[in-house]
Amino acid sequence: MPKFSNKCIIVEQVKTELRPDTVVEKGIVIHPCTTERGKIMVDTRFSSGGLGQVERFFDFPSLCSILDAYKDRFQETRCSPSLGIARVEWKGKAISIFRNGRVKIRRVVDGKDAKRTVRFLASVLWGSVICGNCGKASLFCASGGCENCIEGGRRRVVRMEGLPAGLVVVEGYRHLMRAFEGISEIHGSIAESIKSRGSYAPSLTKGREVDASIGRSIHLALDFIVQTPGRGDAVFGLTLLGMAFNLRGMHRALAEMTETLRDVDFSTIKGDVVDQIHKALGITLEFSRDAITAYIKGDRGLEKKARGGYKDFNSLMDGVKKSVKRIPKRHAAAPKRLVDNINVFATNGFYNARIM
Amino acid sequence: MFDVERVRKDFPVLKRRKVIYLDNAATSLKPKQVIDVVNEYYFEHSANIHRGVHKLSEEASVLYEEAHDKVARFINARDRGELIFVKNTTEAINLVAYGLDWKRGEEVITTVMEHHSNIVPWQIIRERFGTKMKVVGIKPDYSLDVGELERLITDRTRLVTVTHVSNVLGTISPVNKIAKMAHEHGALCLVDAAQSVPHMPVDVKDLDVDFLAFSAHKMLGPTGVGALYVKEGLGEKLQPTMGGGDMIESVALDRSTWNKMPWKFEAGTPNIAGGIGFGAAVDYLSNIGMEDVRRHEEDLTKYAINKMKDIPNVKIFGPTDPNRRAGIIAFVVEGINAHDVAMYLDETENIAVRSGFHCAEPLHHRLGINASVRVSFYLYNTRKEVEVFCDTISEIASELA
Repeated sequence: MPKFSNKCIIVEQVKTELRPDTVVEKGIVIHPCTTERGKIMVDTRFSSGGLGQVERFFDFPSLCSILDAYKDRFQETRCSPSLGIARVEWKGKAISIFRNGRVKIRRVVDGKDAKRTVRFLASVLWGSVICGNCGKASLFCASGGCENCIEGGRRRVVRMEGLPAGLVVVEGYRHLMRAFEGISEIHGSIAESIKSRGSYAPSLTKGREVDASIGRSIHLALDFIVQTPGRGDAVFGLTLLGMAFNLRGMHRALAEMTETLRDVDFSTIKGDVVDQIHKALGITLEFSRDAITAYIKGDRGLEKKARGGYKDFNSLMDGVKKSVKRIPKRHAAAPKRLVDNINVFATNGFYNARIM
Repeated sequence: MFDVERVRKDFPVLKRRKVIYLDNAATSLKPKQVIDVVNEYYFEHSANIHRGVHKLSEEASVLYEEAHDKVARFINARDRGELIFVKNTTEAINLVAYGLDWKRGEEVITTVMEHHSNIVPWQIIRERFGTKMKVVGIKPDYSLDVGELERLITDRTRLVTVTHVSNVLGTISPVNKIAKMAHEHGALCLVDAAQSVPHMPVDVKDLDVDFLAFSAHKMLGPTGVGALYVKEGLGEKLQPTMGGGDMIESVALDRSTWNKMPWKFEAGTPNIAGGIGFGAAVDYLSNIGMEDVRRHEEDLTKYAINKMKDIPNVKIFGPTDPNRRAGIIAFVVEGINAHDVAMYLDETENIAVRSGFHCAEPLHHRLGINASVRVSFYLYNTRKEVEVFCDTISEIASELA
C-alpha cells in the first residue's frame, strides 16, 4: 500500500456533518417530514477540507456505477449522471443525492437512524467523491489513477486476511483475478485477429463472465468498506474498488476494439504498422498482469517490470500513432479508434502498478 | 406593446440571482419601482397617519389614502370607501367571517377548491355560532360544479364564498354567475381573488360580488398588506372585528362610535409603507395593462401545457383549455415524491416551484394525491424559462421516475 498525499481525498476523508455524539449540529437540518407524519427529514451536505463546498463534490458517472453495482443493497436506485441526481431507497428511507454533496433523507425514524444512514451513505459513496488534488473520483486515487495522490518512499505490506472483515476483500481480489484472466483470453483472441488481419468473433459468454466477476469484485469492495470499522483499513476496499473499475475500463476498451475491428480495412494499413499494433497489444497485457500481481503479492520487482513495460508501450505507440495519421482520411476513423482503445486499455492496466 | 425583456429589467432579484422563478402563486417578485416607493416612505415621509398635524404625518396620510384609491380603481371599486386595507387575503376573509352577525342554522357554501383560508374560518364560525357549512365539488374537467351549487343553495344560505382562480388547478370560476345565484337567494357573495386580481382584469361591478379579497404580495407589492372590497352599503352591516385607534369616530367610557369606511376596519397603526407600496404595485401593473399580463400568462400556460402533456409519467391537473384557467399548473411525476421533484428542479436549474398541498389539502384528497408540484407564471416569465422547466421535468421523469 502506498503512502497517499495529505492533500488526497483518501487521507482527508469525507465529513458528513454528523458526529457520533450529536445529531443536530451546524450544517444539518432535521425537521418533520411533510408527507410522512411522525418521521423526520434530514438535509445535510457532505464536504471535505480540500474541496469545501463545491458545485461538483461527487463524480456522478462513478457514483451511478457504484450504486448500480450495489443495487441489491437498496430497495430502489435511480441515478442520472446528466442531472447529477441519484434517488435511492434504503431501509424504508427515501434518499436524494446531489452532485454538490447535498444529501436529503426522508422518512428517518430518529437521530440514531439518521446517523446510521449518513454513515452508510458516506461509506458507499466514498469512492465517487472528487479529489481536490487531481480532480478524479477517489476510487481512481486509490488505484493509481491519480499520480499526485501517491507519494514516493516506502510501501507498506499488509496481510489482508488479518484485517477485520478481511476475508471479504480477499474474496474480492479473487474475483478480480478471475476477471483479469477472462480479459486476458479476450485480449489474446483480439491480438490473434489483428495478427491474421481477420475479423474477430467475440465470445459473449466470456464477456458476460468478466462483467460478472468485475461486478462481484466491486460489490465485495463496497461490502468491505461498509463493514470494516477503521477508515485506514477501508482504503484497501477502495483500492479494490478502483482496481475493479480499472479492469472495467480495460474490458470496455476491448469491447470497443471488437466493434472497431469489424470496420478496419487492413489493406489500407501497412503491414509493419499492423505488426506494431499487435506487439503493443502483447505488451499491454504483460504489464497489466505484472501490475496487478505486483500489488496483490507486494512484489516490487514485478512493479518495476510493469513500469518498464508501460514505457516500452508508449515508445512503440508513438510510432503507431504517426503511422495511423498517414492513413487516408476515409479509412482512418476505425484504426484511430482502435489505437485510442488500446491506449485506454493500457492506461487502466498501468494504473494498478502505481499503487505499488 | 408588452415587452417581457424590458419588464424583467425592473426586477432586481432577476438581475442578482440566476433563478427561474415559477412560484408566483405563492408570492411575486418585486419591481424596483415598488421597492423605491417603500424606501421613499421611510427615507422621506416616515410618520404615522391620521394622527399628527405636522407635515410628515400629513404627507404619509395622503400617500396612504391615495394608495387606497389606486387599488380601488384597479378593481373598479367606487373609491376608498369600498376598500379596506388588511394584512392579507386570509385576514380579509376572516374579517367577513367575524364581521357578519351570524344566526344559528344559517348556511355558508364554499367549494372543495378553496385555499385553507376560505375553509377554516367557516369551520370556526360553524363551531361558534352553529352555522352550517356546505361544500361544492368539482367536475371531471376540473371546473366548479355550478349545478351542485344550484342544488345546495337555499333561502337559509347567508354566504356563498368561492375562489375566483384555484391556487392549485388554475380553474377560473364563473363568479358573476355564482354571485347572481347567491343574490337570488338573498345571500351574499365573497370571492377569494388572491390568484385573479394579480393576473387578469377584475371588475367588481361587472362581477357584482359583495366582498372580494386579495393580497399585495402576489401582485408585485410588499408582504403584509392586502385588501377587502366591500360593496357600498355593506360596510355598515359589518361589525368591526378589531377595536382601537383610528377605527373610531368618538370614544366614551360607556360606548364608542365607529369611523367611516374603510377606517372603521383599520384599527391601530397600519402597515403604512406596505400600503403605499401596494399603490405603487397597482400603478406598475396598470402601466403595463392587465389585458397584456393576462395574454402573456395565457401564452406561457398554453406553451407549457402543450409541452408537458406529452412527457411520460407526468400528470397535469386542471382544465386543458388555457382560456378557462390561469397561469397555474399543478402536476405530479408518477413515482417521485412532489417535494423531491421541486428539490431536483431547484438543484439542477435553479427553478423555484412549490410542492405539497399549497394550503389546499381537501382538494388534494379529492384528487387522490398526497401532494403536487405547482408552477405558476407571471409577467416577467419567458417562454425560454418555460422551455428549460419542461426539459428538466422531462429529464427528471425519464431518468429518475
